[in-house]
Amino acid sequence: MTATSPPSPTSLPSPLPRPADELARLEAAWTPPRGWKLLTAVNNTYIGIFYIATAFVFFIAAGILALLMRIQLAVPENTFLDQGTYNQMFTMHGTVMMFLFAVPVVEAIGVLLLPNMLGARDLPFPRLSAYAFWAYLIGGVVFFGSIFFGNAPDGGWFMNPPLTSYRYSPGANADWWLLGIGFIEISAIAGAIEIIVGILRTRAPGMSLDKLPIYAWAMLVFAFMIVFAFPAVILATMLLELERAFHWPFFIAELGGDALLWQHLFWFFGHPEVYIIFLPAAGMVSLIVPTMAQTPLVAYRLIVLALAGTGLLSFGLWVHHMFATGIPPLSLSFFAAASMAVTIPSGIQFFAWIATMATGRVQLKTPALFVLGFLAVFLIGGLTGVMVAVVPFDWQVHDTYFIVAHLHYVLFGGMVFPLFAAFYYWTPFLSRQQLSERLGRWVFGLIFVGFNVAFFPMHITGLAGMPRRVYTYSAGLGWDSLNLVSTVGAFLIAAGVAVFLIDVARNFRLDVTNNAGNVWGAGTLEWLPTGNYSVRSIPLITSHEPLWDQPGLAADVEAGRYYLPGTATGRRETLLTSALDAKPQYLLQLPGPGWTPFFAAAGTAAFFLLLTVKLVVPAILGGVLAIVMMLWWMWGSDPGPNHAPVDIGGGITVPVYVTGPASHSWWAMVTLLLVSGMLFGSLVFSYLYLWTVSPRVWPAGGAGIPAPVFPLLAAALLALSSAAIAYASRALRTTVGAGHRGHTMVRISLLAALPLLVAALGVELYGQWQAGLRPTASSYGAVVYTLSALQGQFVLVLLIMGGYTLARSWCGLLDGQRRATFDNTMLLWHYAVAQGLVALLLIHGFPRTFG
Amino acid sequence: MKPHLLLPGVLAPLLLIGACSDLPLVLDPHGSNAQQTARIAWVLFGGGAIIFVLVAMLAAFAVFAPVAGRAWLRHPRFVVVAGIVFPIVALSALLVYTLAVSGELARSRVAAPLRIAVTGETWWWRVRYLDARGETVLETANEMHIPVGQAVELSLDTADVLHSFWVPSLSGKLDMIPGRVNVLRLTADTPGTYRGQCAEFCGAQHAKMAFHVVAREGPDFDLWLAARRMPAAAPQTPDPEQGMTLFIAHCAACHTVRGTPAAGRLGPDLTHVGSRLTLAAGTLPNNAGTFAGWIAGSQHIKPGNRMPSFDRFSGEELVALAEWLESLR
Amino acid sequence: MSAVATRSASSPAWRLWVAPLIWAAHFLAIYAFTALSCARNVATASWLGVGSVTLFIVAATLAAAAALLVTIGLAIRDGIRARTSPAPTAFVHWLTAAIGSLVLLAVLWETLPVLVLPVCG
Repeated sequence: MTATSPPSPTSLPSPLPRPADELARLEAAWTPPRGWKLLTAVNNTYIGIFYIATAFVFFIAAGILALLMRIQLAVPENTFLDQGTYNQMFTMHGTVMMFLFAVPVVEAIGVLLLPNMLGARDLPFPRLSAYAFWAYLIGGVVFFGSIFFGNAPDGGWFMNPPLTSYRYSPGANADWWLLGIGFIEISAIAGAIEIIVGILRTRAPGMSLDKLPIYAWAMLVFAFMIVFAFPAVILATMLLELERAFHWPFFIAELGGDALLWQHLFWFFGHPEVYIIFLPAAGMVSLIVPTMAQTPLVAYRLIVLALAGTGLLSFGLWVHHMFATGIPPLSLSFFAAASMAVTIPSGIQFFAWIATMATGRVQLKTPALFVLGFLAVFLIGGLTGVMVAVVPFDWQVHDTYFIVAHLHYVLFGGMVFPLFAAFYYWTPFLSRQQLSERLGRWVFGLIFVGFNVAFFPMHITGLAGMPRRVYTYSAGLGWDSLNLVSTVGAFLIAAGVAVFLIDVARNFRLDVTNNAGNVWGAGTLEWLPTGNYSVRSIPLITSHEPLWDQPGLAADVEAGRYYLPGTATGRRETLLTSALDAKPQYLLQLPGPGWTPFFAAAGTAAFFLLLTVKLVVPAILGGVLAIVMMLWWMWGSDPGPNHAPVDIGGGITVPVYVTGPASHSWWAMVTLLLVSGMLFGSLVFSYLYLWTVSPRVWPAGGAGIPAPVFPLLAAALLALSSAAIAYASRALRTTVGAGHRGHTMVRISLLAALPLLVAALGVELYGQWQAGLRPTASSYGAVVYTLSALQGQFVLVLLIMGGYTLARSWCGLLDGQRRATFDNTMLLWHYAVAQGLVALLLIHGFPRTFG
Repeated sequence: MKPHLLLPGVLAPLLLIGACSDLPLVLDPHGSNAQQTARIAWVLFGGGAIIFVLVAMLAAFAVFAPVAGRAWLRHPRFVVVAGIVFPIVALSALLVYTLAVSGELARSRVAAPLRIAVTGETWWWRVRYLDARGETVLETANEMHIPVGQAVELSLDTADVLHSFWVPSLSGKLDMIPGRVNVLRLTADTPGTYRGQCAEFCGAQHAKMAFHVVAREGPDFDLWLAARRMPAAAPQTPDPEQGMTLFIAHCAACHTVRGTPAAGRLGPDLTHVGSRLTLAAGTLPNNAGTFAGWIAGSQHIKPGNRMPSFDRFSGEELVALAEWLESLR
Repeated sequence: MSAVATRSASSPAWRLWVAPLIWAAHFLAIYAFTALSCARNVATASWLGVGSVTLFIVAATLAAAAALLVTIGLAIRDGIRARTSPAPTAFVHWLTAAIGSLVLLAVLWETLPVLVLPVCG
């Protein structure tokens, strides 16, 4: 099989006729749950749709908050909302739009579309998607509900301390943000890991990296950006919550803290966040434009470069939000230069879309209208983006309505317009009929006009001196009529969204199996005939638009003439392929419906949300429920080689179980380690940053640092613990089946490694305590203890995972072949030891060297 | 230089709606910093408008032009030239230009003879004029008077949360951060009164935290400063006598009026408060009526602020108090 | 399975990460050095009349640029060699070189200010 020419019809992998019961067995394996058991659904189609619907409800809810704010600001000195309510509303509007709408909805669309687009049956960890969704739903609803009790966060979506710390915000408002959002971020990371492994490992054979649909490239970059960006804000929320709950002074200047540390951490996440939201939308546009123009995308490679380049350079922009904080001009200019560099990838995409439109003949259907609207609006947002990257100009417009205008042109223009294009474009994939063209034009017209009427004047309002986040303003400052116009525009947008809802109510009839089909004549795989199992057989891909370039593909796929035309093991399954060239590697058996993700999510949500209202015991019970449910679901997920290798057609036989670096679980664990590394890296940054700002609270000349014996002992314990795990790994390799003496060695090593890890942590904590250091005394004490606290979290997780691995060993579920569980524990173990050693080096070596 | 002539039709009408024939503050500078920024702004707007029109035309051409006529747009080479080469050239030029202006701004640090310390408070501004040794020679609030054409050095800090100091007509903004002192140098070019406002969200009444900078000709400024350094004048009428008594009994814990025993530090210094443009950090115009209203209903006018509403005063007492305060000029 | 493992470990796809890491290291280095020099008031130190911060940044940029040029050069060379091998390999080499070039531009732009601006203001 060569990569360049499609296989001839006679040489398709699976010969006809297919066995009579093959399709029925496939359908049986993928039968979705019905009725109230929908709560147990894990299939990506169902979870994807629940997820999108929930995110859209939050879009409307946060939009209503915006309308209320626009009423308040329509006229000067209005008393429609009081300052407390207004401040909660603008905080919630930003927070909900960012964390409960924008990121979840693009992740949700990925969950829904990616498997079909890649020719997979499902994502590799369906229960993880389900868990992420339920956690998000429960957490989001409770979080949003806080506004109905007048108890919502009111410190702005950026939550700057000291305003949000215990002194100026003693109520629970800020805790809702910190715990609620912290936890929804964890759900986003879970989704990102799922998407990375899904895109890299579950593609149809032949879909090598150079043939990956641009949308999948965008989602891959998106997911990696979440992995690298979100840990910083998770750390920031941890630090602020530690300060609020236990008075560990990270952000209090008198005790050596610094309010700007928060801004660094927050914006290290916050700026990439903009591109995290934009890239998936750009990916959608890169699929919609070729279909609407009926011609392949021009400059595929350059667009991939643009996506990767945007993802990368967006991490060099965070201080761009801190230009007015008094940072030295030279430092600012690095970020200004990086901000200029990041526009180049956007330019590439823009002109590639224009070139594609010029090549084909654009049908001006609703998706195309939204794409054109996106181009116009986002172009203005990009140009004002270059403007605010110019430091002196930003000093004027920063924190004014100019920025409100700019950010809505970028986010609403860059993400909501493509999202509506996507709704109209992909509805035929989900629904028996497509949405109405007539209503669609109204939706587009109202939203496009309303958007520009609402937001364009804000550029001028800002230049006229109106700051952001003001609940009212005086008459006669030149802001009155501009604000009134903006309010009118906001209601036009709302009217457009209302027409959209009418369109959905009238025309959207969910049915994946009998969907409206490929009404646009698109070329990508999601438009193949589909069922709950995705495609009947998994095609061999030879180009970017297989449906255009491989004639008869749809019929052949539907007839089962390609790979895996049924279920080989009788269960749900999907084909795992190699990351670069998508060669079949093994068959992954997937779980069916189950209650565990739902209850695990409910438990996790209970843990975080009950902690917010200081109900500690019920919170811990929730946490235990979550852990028990997760272990329960894990128990069945390491089946071992329980089935003979299967023939997937075309003379290819693949195993049904794989361990080691080629397995999907190894990839997921390595991704999780990247997340952990970023979290730890952010904490190391915080340590060094606080030292830069407040060297006075650092121990001078080694005084007040525990004697060297403490770190040396702790390091030795850590190293021994890792050695024990490494020994266990070797011992495990020799074991086949039960009853081997190697099993005893594995268990003894694991049992020895656990206390060593705990002891190392204990030695470090005791050393600091007996040296007189207290976490509340200074930012130095706080950050030193936080390094141990973070290590403590890993130790806790490893205690659970180590105990779980032991339990599997005792139950005979662990041996030299069936060892994915052990491998995951081992990877995390070695990581935690490495992290502990680096932390010891930092805590004890740094003050001795530079003190 | 008239780059604003390049503004396209889309921008101009809206600019007009917004400004009612006046330019927005940022584009109507009265200080050297703001002047430089306005110049950059016009370059950015002009360049942005040109690029917007060109790209929009290209996009429209790509969709609507006859198929044969748009063939030149079809090649990846077009993407390379328009999407890579052009931005690199344009942005390099912009980068060099803006860095040069920033460098000019940063280097033009002439020694500033006048130093003023401004402290952000929730939700008002404490203003202290400093002498060469950094000692306070005059404390006032929510208003600062500066001499035209002279560089003024503002030391910005905060007593509580983040604030940001911003007078769009004179200069860009600079944040006020606990534990730090940020220094802003600015010069006013023309006499006048320039409104400023807190630009960093600082809690409940962030919206009502404005101030004014009054630029005066040099000699006029010297007179102003000398007059304000004097203690409050003794009351002239019998009624204000009662006002002062009330003030010392009820207000002195928080407010200072030099020349009287009132020496509180929590609230604004009210010596010469009668001469200020506004009350409650730009919230109300300043006259005896609004002053009485503020004293009786400060929590109604600016809910959540640190000053309680003194609704126990009788009408007569309020008038006496307000008149006395207004007489402090 | 070990065959699968080795193949993915030696895959040219890993090289995609080289240029991003160079960029991140360069960016962090120049940012941290400037911040620290200004915070500790040591930015005035100089050598042959050139400030220490300027020297450091220029040196960091030269090192980063050299590393990037090597990365780009190797990717181009291997891309040409890979012309006969399957398309994805050549594509990955192209992407490595392209990201390297974008990063090179970013590194140069980020260096430009040090030639124009005063260091700590």
